[in-house]
Amino acid sequence: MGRARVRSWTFRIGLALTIALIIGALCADLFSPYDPYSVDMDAVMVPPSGVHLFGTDYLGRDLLLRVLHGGRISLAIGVLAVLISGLVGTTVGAIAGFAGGWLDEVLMRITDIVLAFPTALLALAVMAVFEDPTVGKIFIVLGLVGWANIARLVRAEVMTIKERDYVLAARSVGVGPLGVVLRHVLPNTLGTLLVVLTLGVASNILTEAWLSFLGLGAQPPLPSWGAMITEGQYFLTTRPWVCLFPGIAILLTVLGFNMLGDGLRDVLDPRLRGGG
Amino acid sequence: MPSFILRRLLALVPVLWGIATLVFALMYLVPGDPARLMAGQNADEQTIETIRVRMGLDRPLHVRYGKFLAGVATGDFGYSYRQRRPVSEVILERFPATLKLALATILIALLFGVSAGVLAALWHGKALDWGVMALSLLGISTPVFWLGLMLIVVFSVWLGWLPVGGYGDGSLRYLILPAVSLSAISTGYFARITRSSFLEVMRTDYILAARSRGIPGRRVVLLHAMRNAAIPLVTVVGTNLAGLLGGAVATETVFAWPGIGRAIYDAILVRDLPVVEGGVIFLAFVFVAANLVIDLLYAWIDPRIRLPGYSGAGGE
Repeated sequence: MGRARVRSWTFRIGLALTIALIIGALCADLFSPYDPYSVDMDAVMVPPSGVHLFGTDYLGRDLLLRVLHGGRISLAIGVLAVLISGLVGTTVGAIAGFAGGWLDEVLMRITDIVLAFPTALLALAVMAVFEDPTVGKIFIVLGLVGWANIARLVRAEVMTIKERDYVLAARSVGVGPLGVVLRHVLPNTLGTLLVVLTLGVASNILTEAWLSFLGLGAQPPLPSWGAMITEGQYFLTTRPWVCLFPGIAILLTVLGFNMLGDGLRDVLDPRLRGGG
Repeated sequence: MPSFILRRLLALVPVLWGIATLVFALMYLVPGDPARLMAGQNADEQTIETIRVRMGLDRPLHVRYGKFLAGVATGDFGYSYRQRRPVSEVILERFPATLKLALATILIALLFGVSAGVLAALWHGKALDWGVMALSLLGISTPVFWLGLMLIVVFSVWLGWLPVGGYGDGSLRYLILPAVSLSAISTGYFARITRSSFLEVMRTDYILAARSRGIPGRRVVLLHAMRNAAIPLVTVVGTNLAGLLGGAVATETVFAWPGIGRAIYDAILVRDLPVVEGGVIFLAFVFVAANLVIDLLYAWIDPRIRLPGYSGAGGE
């Protein structure tokens, strides 16, 4: 009894946090009299107050609005990267599962290698090569390093269903591998996939913040949370709010997606319940 | 056991080769001429040409790739443009600090994570359980570099208890804040996995039987569940190392901790790519090696894993 309540609460809080973030990020400009990029040298690093709820940064820009705009960047990167991972992972997994033999062997060895590599470091290694790291590059890089566990998942599903009668029947009437993947594999893995992708959004947002903090992501004046913390770092001892709010935004967003993922796992696939 | 160790060692070869090849490919894609970068702004063509020949940059790609692989295999990670010395020297100099930070972080995470997880399982469904679950969710969602900054504000700036950063004399005072902030994510995961494996064991027949014989519940659980909880826990320690080593790059940056992570960050700022990529390869190798040790440990705890073809023990 207790567990059921825990479960639904995890899901509900996660959903509420995520929806609140999306609304806040999209509708920020409707409620704010400020502009996220306009400099106001008369209001530099004003502490949080009724005028600027989160205070202002070193160029007098309203931090609340910049944090909300940062949400757009984080959400876009998190979701787009996960879509790329999903697409690559599904393709690799489906090919490996259907082909079998040496192709399967090669693809799975590559998958193992990618899985054995610490993902965040791999993203760092790639981003460091570019002379001009940008938001567009980050989501592609994050998408391309995060597909391996999805490939494993889809391959396993293909292996289990490809010899089933209904799949053989479908193939005998001319449904190609793509059709089988779309009609039989994906619906069967959708629950697990959704959980993995939702948790993937959370980890992508954390990695993006981390890369941007290191200067390898979104560049100023873009209001990326990681870059905002880098800027605020120089005034940390006297004006800690400049770092405080972007960090809380990262924490709540990642928390939201993590809870949503956990909640979905409990709701959709009880077999997976209780894992780390 | 020996054949198991041999099998695992052989399985490492393609992984290490893959990591090295990937990094070589990245370095090859870099726009700009490494020889020119290394020679500096004012060098004449003659000097650049000399450097190019000395670095072997005039050779065909496959020769350079072969030399690169041979280099990596023997611990040669290239030459730092800025520091003008072998990257391996930089890495060796910085590795002790990173190792110290990583070990302290894992110890803290195990200590707090495991005890919180055990407490939550023993008080399952009570307020304590909820508190631990909520805290561990917060922990795994924390940007650790930001947590580090906030700890600096509270414990160094406001309270003045601990230094804001640096390695100091190497004493514990300098280690506390970096290690505590870096441990947030791992502590959260360890608490969750410990709690769930304890709960699983508590529902098994032999625990129920022991309890029905009148042995007090909590003692039974502590005696029997520890070994079973250790198996998934060990796996999670391995997977968490990846995040920990990555997080160390930012945490070392925040705290001016003189480890490999800080060296990578400093190198990013001046585009000293050999140090960045060499540092990443090295950290990736550390991760792979640590996971090998963990696999062996795992096989020692659970003998079934030593059998060829066994693959059913993945906790995650």
